[in-house]
Amino acid sequence: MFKNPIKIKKMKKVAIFLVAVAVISLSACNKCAECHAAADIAGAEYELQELGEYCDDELESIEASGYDVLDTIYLTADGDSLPSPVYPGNVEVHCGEDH
Amino acid sequence: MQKINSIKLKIFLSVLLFSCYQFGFCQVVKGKVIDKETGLGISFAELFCLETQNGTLSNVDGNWELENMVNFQITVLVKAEGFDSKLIKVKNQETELIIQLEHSHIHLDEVIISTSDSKLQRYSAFPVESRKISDLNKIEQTNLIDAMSNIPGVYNFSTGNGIAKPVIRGLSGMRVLTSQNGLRLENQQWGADHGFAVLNLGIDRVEIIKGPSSLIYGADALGGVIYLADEPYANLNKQEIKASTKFETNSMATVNKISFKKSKDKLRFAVYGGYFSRANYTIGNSNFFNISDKQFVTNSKNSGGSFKTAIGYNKKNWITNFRYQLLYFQNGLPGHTHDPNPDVSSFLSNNRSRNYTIPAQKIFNHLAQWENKFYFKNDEVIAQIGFTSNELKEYGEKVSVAGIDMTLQNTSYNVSWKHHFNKHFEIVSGSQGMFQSNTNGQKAEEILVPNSNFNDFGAYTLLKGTFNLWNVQAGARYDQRSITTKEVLDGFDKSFNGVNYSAGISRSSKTLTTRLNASTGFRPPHISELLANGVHHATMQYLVGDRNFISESANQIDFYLGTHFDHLEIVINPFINQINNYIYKSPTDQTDTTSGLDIFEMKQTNAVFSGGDIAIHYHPHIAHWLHLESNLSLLSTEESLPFIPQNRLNNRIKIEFKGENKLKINSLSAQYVHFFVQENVARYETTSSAYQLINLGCTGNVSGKHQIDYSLGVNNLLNVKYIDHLSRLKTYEIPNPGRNIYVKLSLTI
Repeated sequence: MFKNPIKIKKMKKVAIFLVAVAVISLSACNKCAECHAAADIAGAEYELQELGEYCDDELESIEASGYDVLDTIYLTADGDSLPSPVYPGNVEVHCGEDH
Repeated sequence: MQKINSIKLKIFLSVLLFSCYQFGFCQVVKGKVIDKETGLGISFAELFCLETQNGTLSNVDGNWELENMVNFQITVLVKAEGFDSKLIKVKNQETELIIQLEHSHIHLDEVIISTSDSKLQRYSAFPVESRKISDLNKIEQTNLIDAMSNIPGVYNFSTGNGIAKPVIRGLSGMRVLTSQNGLRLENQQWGADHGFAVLNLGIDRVEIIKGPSSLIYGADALGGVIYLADEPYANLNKQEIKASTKFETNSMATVNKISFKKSKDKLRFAVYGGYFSRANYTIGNSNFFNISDKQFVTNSKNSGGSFKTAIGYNKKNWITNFRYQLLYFQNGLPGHTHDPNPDVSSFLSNNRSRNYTIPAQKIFNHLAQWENKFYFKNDEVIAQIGFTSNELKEYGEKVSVAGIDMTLQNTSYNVSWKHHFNKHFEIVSGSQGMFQSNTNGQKAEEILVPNSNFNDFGAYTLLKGTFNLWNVQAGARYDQRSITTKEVLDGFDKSFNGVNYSAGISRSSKTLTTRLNASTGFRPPHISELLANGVHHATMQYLVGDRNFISESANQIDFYLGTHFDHLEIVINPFINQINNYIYKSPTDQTDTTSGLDIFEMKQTNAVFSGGDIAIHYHPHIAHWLHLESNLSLLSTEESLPFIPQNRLNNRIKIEFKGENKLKINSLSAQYVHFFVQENVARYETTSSAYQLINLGCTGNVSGKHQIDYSLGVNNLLNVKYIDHLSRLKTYEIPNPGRNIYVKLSLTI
């Protein structure tokens, strides 16, 4: 079959290059995301507070546990009035959204 | 007694020697390609062996030689610029072939391999179209389905520019079967947002069988079959390295591909890699000159990559091919907002973004196939086994936990036997089967479709006849599918079966082709249509199935009339496809209290799809460099069904150049596409306005030590702001992409 050693070397290089390209291309993943506390009021979602970036296990944890509101909130994170206040308690945390 | 033994020994040795001759040496076929008119040799004609998937070029005198071919029979496709293609079956004893080609100004005929026999398109008894991807991309399109949409009757059901689903004669999803080199692809295609599972990487040609007329692909294909044929291997004892890069301005997209191919004696090998990345796409503003006022569709970005390899070997009368492909897609899902009173501005942004955000879907596909072909004097046996795995994760509410996490694994086999009775008749019989399992991830928040198993078995027989200008074909097929799940109340275990037929006759002379085909098909309801009961965040719907559904059945009649004159080709192809028990989604006007999403339930009705294609290709005698092509796709339904495509008039002017300059222009193309108004809509749809698009493209090459091909152009030149009726984003009034300027460079070593 492929007897020429120079050609075999060339082929190997090409194969290694292609595999490397494939691995690098396919292994890129994003495990960090910007998060915010959110409240659902009358079927619409309002952003209450920016919480910053979370990564890996912390990201999974905050999405699962939510965010504890300690004081009543009257305004959204952008400073707009909420249709109704959000009282102390646990609210959802949303991460990685493009608004 | 001794004498008898001696005679026996001689006979035995003669048979052995003959067998050694038959099986010990591979065939060498050689000959000459000549111009039928002048008798002169045609230089650089392409001779391509369909069995081994590689070939050679004729030399300057038209002489050629193909070594290491399979025993007993090979099929050689002969192509040369300015001549009509020819397909030749070469028998063992014919080792010196003179192939005469006739001049032709119009070339619309590609070889068909998806219908179990290798024929030029005009001789097929099925409604099938074959196109090279490079021809469909003379004006580059964003994705493979957009390119296929240049074929009459084929449309793109899109979600932005990342998710595209093929539509054939108004049918899509589970009703369109996709086969890649004979491997059936399964990717949860019931979902409106579950796009085509293929990347345009190493694909040479697409063949589209319209309607249920092909019996060899099994149940489901009521709309048709999309058969994707891989690029051929490198020519015999040659190697080829190709790299290409494309940039698109609309979504700042980059598409990069690289491939390496080598053929040495009986072994062939190819490896491909590709990667693409698109940011959010820009909508049109219907203002040709205003390029500063740009709006981007939020979360419409997408990216992906693929690795693909193929290895082929032939010995004596045996050919084997092994293929593997890994695909990865990451698609943003536009149409998501938290605005209490959303309008279209809620889904648009003034800033372009490429970062991964949710809602999104991540898809990992593995495709593996092992194919073995055996050729005998009058018989041919093909055995394929395949495995596909489709891992689909949709992230709706949480970025760390998938809302939907399903893995669909499909193991399939395909065996066919072809026997040539004589030069007029042949029979093809075969069997297919698949075992499919759908498994939900442990952490998935939603179980939209339960864990379930499918078993498919099918068997078919086709009789084919050829008499001078006539081709006839008739056959029948039996299919059985069982669906089992224990994960719903009372469980679900049901079998569906169907017997179907297809019969076609065609007559093809040099100037006229006529064809009539009648066929039936059946599609058992999918588990999502039977048992769905949950939220599908990607489509923002709560879906409810019906476990009492029965199979859909289709009856199609297709007629084709084509004239082929030296400078004019006209094709008329009307059809009618009646589908009984057609399953469709319908709103209930109720809302799910937990998710707040509208509840849609599945319903069945009888539906009739009718329409046709009209195509004209004019090539003026006084200007052989000019091609004027036009095709009209028409479709209507008696019932008001969702997502019925707009009628479409597609016109293209192509100017071809010949020259020997270092910087060469090969062709200039201009395309004008008119989509007609769509007023035949489902109860929950709105009508769609007519719109027009103008696209321009230029292809050429720069010659040097290595050739560089280039392609540049613009889609939607006038930056028209429009919403296609088959855009899933129409619900949110989000327009399709605006102007897109592209540049593509390809280097071949």
